[in-house]
Amino acid sequence: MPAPIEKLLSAPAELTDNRTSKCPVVLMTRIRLARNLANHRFPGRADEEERSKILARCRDSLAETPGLKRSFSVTMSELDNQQRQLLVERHLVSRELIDSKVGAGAVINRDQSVSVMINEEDHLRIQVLRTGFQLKKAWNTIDTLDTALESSLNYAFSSQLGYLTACPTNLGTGMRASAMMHLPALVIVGHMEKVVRAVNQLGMVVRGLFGEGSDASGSIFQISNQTTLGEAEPVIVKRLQSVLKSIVEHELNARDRLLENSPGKLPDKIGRAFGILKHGHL
Amino acid sequence: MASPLKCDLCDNQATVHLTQIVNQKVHKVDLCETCAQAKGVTDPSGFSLSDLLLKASLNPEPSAASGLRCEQCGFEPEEFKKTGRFGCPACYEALTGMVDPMLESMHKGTAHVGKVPEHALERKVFEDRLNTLESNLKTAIDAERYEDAAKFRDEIVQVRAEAGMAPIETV
Repeated sequence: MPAPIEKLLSAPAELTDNRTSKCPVVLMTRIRLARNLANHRFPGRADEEERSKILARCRDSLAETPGLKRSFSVTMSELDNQQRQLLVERHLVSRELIDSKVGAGAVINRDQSVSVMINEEDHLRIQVLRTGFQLKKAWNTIDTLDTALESSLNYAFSSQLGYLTACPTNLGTGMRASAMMHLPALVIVGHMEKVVRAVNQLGMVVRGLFGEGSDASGSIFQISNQTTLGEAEPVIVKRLQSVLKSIVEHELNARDRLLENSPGKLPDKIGRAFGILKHGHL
Repeated sequence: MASPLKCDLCDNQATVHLTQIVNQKVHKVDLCETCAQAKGVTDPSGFSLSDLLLKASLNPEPSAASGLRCEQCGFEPEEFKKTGRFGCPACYEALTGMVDPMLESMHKGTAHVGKVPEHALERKVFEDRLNTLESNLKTAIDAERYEDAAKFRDEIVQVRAEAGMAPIETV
């Protein structure tokens, strides 16, 4: 019988199979919630025994949660490097999780649109992925999942600070909502710097393809909310949605202008990329 | 002459100074050349600048942090400067003098207005009520106030029954 990881890697997934984005600029939407169990040290400070206990406790609850009942459960220490890397490339787990110590695991649903990391920076990092621009849907899914999970797990929560997280930058909602955007025209016309600055001023942050510290290869950028305390989740989602919509408009305008003003530039770029793909050896 | 500023990320002398105004608040970061390059500050796309500014606001004021310690997990503010993370959920209450000033520059507000874990809070209210009743019962017994004790015992039985738990022998 194949191991769970092999089944998972060959199963059809939300991001890679039979799905296309209706909006050609937003490739994928993602929301994650950071949650911790009350009366336990955060993963970075817990010893091996406590981390293992937390892993077991969270797994038991996740197995009983509607929508996750037939999911894949993987333990990082049981995977080889290549398998771990594949999970990172599919945005199912983070680099931090695959480098973690004992007790790091993930529970991933059948179509890989939901992934819950256990013992990453926080005890639980629940994330929902959706192809295309579907922030509201992603929020509804993760909200329901989180409520179901909370009926069996005691979350660390304070009425003043909200959900208590290892890093104070995640306090409050513990929510990071983001969209992966393909912005080649804004990069070519040299407007990306302006966009980054404007987005920063609106309390959003621009990162590379794999989040914090990664570069923006292929003109793919991740744009997300920066602050988590002091605003309700739907308010944050709504603001992000309107910021993203306006970036989509700018990108589409820039594409039109490029085609109008320098019609030779794009076929040249595409031809060069194709040439490298076809004839490159390294 | 004043001593040269130190880099926020290591102990070298800072030569790159950034100032950004976010939500009418001034954020300052001082870096050495190596860290500035490593963090992409010199990159014209200004990529990780906001990450960095956010991290800089994690540096606690030394005066606010001195002498604090989380009794629950033994966490001390010095460790926070190294990792940017706390030890356990109880740290937030124990080190509140250090947390509060940080939050102002980090977030839109300082109070949570979002989702609340209803089930967990209900459970907590129930547990707190039970704990209070049990402690009242013990005090009453110790003081030989048996009428009060009987009242508390009945209340415990009732609270447990409401939650679908078996009544236990408490006396």
